[in-house]
Amino acid sequence: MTLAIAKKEAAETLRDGRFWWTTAIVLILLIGALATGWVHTERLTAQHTEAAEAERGVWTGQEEKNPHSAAHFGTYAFKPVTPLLAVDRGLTAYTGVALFMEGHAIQDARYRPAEDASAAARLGELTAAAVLQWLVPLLIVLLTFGAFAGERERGTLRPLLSLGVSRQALAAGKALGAAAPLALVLIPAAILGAAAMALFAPPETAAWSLPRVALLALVYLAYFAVFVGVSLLVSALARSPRSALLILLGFWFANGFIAPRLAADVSERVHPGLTAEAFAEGKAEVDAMSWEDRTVRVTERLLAEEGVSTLDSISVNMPAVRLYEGEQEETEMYRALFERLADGFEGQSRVAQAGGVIAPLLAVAPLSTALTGTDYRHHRHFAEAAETYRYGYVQTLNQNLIDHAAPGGSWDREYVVGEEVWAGIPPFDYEAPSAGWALGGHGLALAFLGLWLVGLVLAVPAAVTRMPLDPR
Amino acid sequence: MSNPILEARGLTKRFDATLALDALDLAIGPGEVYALLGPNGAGKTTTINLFLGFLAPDGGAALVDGLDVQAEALETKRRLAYLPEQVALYPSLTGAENLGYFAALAGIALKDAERADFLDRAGLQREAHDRRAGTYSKGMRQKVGVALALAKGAKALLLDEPTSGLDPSASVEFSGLVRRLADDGAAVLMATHDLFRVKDTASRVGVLVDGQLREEIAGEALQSTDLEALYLGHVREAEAPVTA
Repeated sequence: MTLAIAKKEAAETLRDGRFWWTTAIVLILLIGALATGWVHTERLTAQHTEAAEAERGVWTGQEEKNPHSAAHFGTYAFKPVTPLLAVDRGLTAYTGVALFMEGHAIQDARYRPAEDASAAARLGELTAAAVLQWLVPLLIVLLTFGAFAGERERGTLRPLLSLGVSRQALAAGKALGAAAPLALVLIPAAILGAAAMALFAPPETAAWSLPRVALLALVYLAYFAVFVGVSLLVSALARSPRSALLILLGFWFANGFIAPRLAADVSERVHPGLTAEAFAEGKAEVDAMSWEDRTVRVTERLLAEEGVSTLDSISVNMPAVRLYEGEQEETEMYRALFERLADGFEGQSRVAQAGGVIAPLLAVAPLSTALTGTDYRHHRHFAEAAETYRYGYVQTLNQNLIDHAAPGGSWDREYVVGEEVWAGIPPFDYEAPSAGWALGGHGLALAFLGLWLVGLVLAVPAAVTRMPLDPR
Repeated sequence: MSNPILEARGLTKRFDATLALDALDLAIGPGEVYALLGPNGAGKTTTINLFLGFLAPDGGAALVDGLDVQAEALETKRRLAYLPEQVALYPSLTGAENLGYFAALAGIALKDAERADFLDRAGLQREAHDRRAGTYSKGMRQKVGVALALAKGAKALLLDEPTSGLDPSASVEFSGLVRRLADDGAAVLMATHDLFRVKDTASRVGVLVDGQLREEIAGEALQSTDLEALYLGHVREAEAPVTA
């Protein structure tokens, strides 16, 4: 019975010229967004690969110099580009594409695409995620607002129910009937995207992306199911198809345009985070660390440890030890500062996700950026991996200085190293986190999306049971 | 009378303080067309809704083929065919598709030839079978409804103002269809204002005023009675102010 209802609903929709027009527009935008996203991703991948290779060449090709000078010479870590960037660019425009790594300081990411964007970019980008989050729900609303209200107005609801059709079967059939034409459009688009990734992405990237693509499909499926459920609920309770449409368009607008802005404002108030000013002050505090005090501290300790009275008698190079310990101290302070900054951003993100209880987009958008690896948590994961690498290689160079520089209290200007040492420091090799890790930080968003689904599974049959049979 | 197909036993329904149906007793056997006459608000549609199970009675019971409508909702619906005043079809589906869809929901899978046969028997012209129902007249839509009743092999028909808005020829044609369904053994309950058609079609007439069955006429008496005068008499009596 449910299938018969779904089949008839789908047949009616497919015969409606308006469905084909609206679907064609959505499909063209979706495929267009995926294609431009793919081109953007490909170009970015090529640029990153080329830049990373060039950077490695610059590093290993350094002339002979003091190891600590090499630490200051620095090197870049390039954020990996995933094929899923073609679906959702998330925060990549704001989080930068590369990190400069050098001694004494942790740098924030550089080269943010948003800095180069024109004023028109403020209107938003056309991405596959934007089509899936805004346009497909609109299509669902247009397809389903008349599900029950239309039957009631047309006068078919009574004859239907007089045949012994249960209202639950009717609700299930309507939901399936709305899903079938959508699937007809979205499944080919998903297959096209997955095929493009399987064919053109490097195998290791494709293997990393596959579980994420599957989870992403599930998340969007749940989001669309929520919209189908809300549409059926409103259609069952509304006085007329017209009022159902108006209520649903209001919900769609509030979900897509008002809630995200409201959530951003509220999250900033609830979780103010670290201001740019406070961050700058924190950095200035680290930079103002007194090298004179540190020199006195290290000297006194070394003299005491070795039981000698002058630096000329110690077995190691005091400035090298001072550099090593200074790096430890500064890194600790910088890490604490960046942690406060990152905790602030993540706290705001959690508050915004809590808005998912009233607007499903606030639950879906963070899941989408998480699974495409374009959210702040992924940026932080990358930045922390780059920082671990930076600290490791800077301290390797400082240790080299401790091990080989002439003992005493003066800077050993004679000691230099060359290619052998540079090549001994492995290139930065970043392993992006798994899909499970990506979702791990978004339990709240997952819970709210689940809550919407469970709530609607209970509410729609209840509303359909109580809905009036005749127009009011 | 053999066992009634449609039976009301002390059937009562209230809407807040209004008594819409007051202990209605009614029994309609196979082959019988029972016309329920009455002004608007008399309780005719309420009676039909109670037989359909769309309303729960406040007293008494509605039975279809001996089964209580409230207790055996699905079984009683299987035995019924319902034609509202405006038979509504899905405008983007053809007449044949509409019939196929409604029959499928009643648990009957019809083949193309069977659909055509039932539509033929209901009097829908061949050329209209595969035309979208959005282009149908009320009479054509009713024929699809009758075809569904035939397809279901319905033991009882519930008709709510079926001839309202039909032109005389369509009205005659429809009455003929109803009569044929009754001749085939169906019990028909028809709520109507159409006194003219009642004489042609009905085997029994009940006058319902303010939820009460005031009078029943059948057989010879039906043909010899001035139905209009009888009907208006009951209505005026109900409207007359109560005097001490």
